[in-house]
Amino acid sequence: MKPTLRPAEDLGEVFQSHQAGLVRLAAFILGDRGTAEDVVQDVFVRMHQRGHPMDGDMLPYLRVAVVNSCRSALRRRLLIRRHAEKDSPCPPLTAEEAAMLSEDRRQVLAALAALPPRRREVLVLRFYLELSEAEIAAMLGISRGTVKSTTARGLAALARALKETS
Amino acid sequence: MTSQDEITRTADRLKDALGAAADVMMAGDSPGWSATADVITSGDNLVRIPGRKIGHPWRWLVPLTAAASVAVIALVTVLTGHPAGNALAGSPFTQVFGGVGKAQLVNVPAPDPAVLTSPGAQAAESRVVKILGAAPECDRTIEGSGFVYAPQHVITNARVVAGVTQRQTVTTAGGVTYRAQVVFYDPRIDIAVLDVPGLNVAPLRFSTQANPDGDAVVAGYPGNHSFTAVPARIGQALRVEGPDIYGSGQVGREIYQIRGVVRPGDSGGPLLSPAGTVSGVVLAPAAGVPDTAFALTASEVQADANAGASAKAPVSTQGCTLG
Repeated sequence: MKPTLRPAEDLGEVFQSHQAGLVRLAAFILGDRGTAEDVVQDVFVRMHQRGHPMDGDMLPYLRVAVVNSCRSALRRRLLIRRHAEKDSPCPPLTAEEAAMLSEDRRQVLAALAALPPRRREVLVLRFYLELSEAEIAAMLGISRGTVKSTTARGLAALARALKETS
Repeated sequence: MTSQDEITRTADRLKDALGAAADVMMAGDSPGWSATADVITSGDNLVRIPGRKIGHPWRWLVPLTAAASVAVIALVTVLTGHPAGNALAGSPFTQVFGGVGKAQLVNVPAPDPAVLTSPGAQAAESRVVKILGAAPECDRTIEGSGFVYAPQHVITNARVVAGVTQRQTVTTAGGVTYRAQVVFYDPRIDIAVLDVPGLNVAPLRFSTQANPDGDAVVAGYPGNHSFTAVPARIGQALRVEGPDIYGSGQVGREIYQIRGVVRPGDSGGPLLSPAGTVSGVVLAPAAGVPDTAFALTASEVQADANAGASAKAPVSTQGCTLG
């Protein structure tokens, strides 16, 4: 017997479940929390305006929308760091948040934030969301080979940067 | 040149740093609420209180729809099962969890990651659910984990549903969300049971036979991550006296000390044996002690589980926990 599905038909509910996680995703990709909030907010506003049907698990759809919006934001160079992050050794964390992490983790995050946006994007999808190469390829509309090579180059660049700082 | 080893190590470090950064962002002054949010720690929960800032960051969403959506926007999310502040680490007499002092902890060998591949534990993971609800009276949403243990009934920690009056939902590993209702609530032991009409997931079974130093799996939905299972090891069973979830009275509970990485939001999820039975209900990480957490033992939970297994009538979730 098929379970009686009760799709999350209510945008408020979908928002409640996923907003915070999506802001974190966008913040890692952008290296900027303020813009990340705006990006996620725009995604929800657009969903509402278009009357997007709420069926099943909305998270994959929302993630694609957020990643795409991050790309547009990067293209439009909207990245103006909010005050709270300016003094942070590793955006998108605030200085206070960064202080709660070990030096080692701070170095890794700082090196990530200094990478070119494309590499950062792929590394975040691969190692924060822990998506597979195939999933990332489908999400970004690029080949698996490109995901593989971008990941490899990103990690190599990160390793080099970390060797310099330590 | 960068060796393959170095690349692998960098990948591990990156994963670890992103996970830790996400935890810090979740626990601290989160975006979308207010730059002036206060963080209050109390007991073993960490709670964000919205600051009073004019020009709410979500003002653009306010015209969205009905009052219901607006209400949600004004809430902050509380991740149940967060340790009390890490600053408490110091002395051996420090309380690391309600009623447990640091001196009572034993050394537990590191977990064996191979436990994650045991067929029993893997099969059990699809029965673990995410629990979410809104407590508008205290301006918060609460998020935690739970599991199916009787037909259409999910068990979790009482703190995961404390004070919730709206939008109580249960989401399965497959991503389907159901409306749910609390039908049993025990703030003393810290157990609640939800009735979830339409939920067609086979129940997990409890097992009161757990070996000391035995392999285990902590399964849950930490933060807004997707389902996560991490290897754990059961250290010892402890009989402790501590306050109930509202910080009052003294309650005797039997709990396991476990070694493993338990994160905010894991609270209420199962401590699984390699065979896929439930050895305990995950409570919270120890404050200031890395890789250490606590779970209610299966025998401690038994009476509450039986009492809630076929309950249908909604009960009060009383008030929010402190903080």
